[in-house]
Amino acid sequence: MSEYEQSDPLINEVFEMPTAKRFSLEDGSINRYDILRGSEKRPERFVEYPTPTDYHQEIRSNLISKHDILGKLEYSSVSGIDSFKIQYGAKPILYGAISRANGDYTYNDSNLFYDLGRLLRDFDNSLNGTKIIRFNGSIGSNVALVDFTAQHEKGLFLVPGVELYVEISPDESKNLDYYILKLQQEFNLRFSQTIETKFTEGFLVTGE
Amino acid sequence: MSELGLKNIDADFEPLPTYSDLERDRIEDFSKIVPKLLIEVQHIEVDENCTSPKNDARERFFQTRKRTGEPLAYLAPEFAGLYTNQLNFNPNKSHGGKASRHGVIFGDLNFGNGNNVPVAIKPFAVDYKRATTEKECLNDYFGNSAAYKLGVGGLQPVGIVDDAHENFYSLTVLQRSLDTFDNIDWSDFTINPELNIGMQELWNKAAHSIAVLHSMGDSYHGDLFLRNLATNPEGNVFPIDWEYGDFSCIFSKDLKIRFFDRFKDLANLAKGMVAPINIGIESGAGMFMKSKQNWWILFQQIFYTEYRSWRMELASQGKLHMKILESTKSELEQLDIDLETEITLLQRLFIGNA
Repeated sequence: MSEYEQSDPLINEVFEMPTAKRFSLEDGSINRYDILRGSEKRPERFVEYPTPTDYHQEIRSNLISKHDILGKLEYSSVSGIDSFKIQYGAKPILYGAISRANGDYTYNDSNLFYDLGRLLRDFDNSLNGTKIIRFNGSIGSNVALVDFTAQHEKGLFLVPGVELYVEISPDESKNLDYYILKLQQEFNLRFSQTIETKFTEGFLVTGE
Repeated sequence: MSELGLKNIDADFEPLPTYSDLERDRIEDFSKIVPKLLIEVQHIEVDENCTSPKNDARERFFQTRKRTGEPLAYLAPEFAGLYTNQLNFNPNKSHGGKASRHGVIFGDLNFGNGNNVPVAIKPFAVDYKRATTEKECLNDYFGNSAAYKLGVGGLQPVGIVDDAHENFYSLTVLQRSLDTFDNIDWSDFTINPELNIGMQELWNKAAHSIAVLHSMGDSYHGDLFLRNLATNPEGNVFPIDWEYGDFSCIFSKDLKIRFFDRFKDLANLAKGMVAPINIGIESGAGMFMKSKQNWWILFQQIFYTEYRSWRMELASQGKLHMKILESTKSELEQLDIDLETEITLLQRLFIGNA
């Protein structure tokens, strides 16, 4: 059972603070906030941002159905705010150090970037119809890692609000090259040739 | 034999185990032993009024613990109380783990009735004398217990496991929301301040946390590398893994010994900050590698100035403040000199142009 499912919904809201920078999934450009809320001893964590338009919601719904989105949609308020309760220790991959250790129980960068390839492929396929789309935001800030998971559990997710960073792709066949260039710019040395190969495998894999 | 009658030499040698094999072995060893464990309650409490609470508790436990020849777990009362007749282990996968000398493994202890306790398990393999290895394991367990009790950042202790054969294990509660400083990419930290807005806060808090520890009597950590500094979503920063540390609220040791313990902590920290990323087990964060500035100045800006001012601030509090203030001042003046030398040497070693 993951952390956000263990929390007690009856805790009174007596505590609220922004999540610390290392873990924060806040993004001012889409008005996304990352908040710890609840009792001081057992706070829960929420990502909140303005309710997206139907177009964006279609993308989000498709990603939720594939279990690609972090956390669970708690509510969509009348004031136009959507709130996701997320795993307490989720952190953006933006600040992550290189992890090259190898083992059956090690989720290293090869595993991480393979899964990232799958997530971005799912994003590209998340709009029903004929439009070809791609993700144009910061990958490091919009992909979150949940560490210490059971063998069968997913550890990498798209952050709620990721759907707002959508653009029409000029050429679907060039999406992979576009992402590779983006990852080279964002992750520099961490995105080595080996890691690029793993990312490509994840992006091109079918039937998962 | 080959066609020429030569023996295939390679066939005589077992291939060396890889990290992957070792990890699998550790997890399999622990998973197999858990269902067979006899459970005892670990009653020995750390006494923070001793000169060395960790060593005192360790010795009391060592003298009184059972030797049955059977696999045995001593669990802290709150966890022993969960035990009915069933105990299993379900391993977790983790992103970190690259820097653990011990090969710490993670997972859930399943006590039945839906009671799962997430745990971090540090194995201690017997390579010489069982008693020596057992004491190392007890150092870890009671070091954590003391740090947890004194509120300086230890993780909640769960228990000690003796498999009656080749391994001892020290168990703490796994806080899945913790992240250690070695899991953070600091390599652009000094050259890309815009990207790193807010991250300096972690170093300010680390400076405060370590200054508090060093202001408590003779206390020190003993293994203060980046892998042993942790942070959480609330932004707290604290040292973990207290196997080599000790605590005391009493100033008892010789000033020179006290200085050496603190210097070792800060020198380890500095080495972890500045050493390049890819040099094996001694890998660092490569924090200053891209900067052209003097590393000692950077170390002061990022960590040491804050640490120093907290040490002076904390020394000026309390009943014995005049005596302690004087002693702290001398200690810090010596630290200034020796740390500058140490960090300058590190810059020469890794860059060559200090």
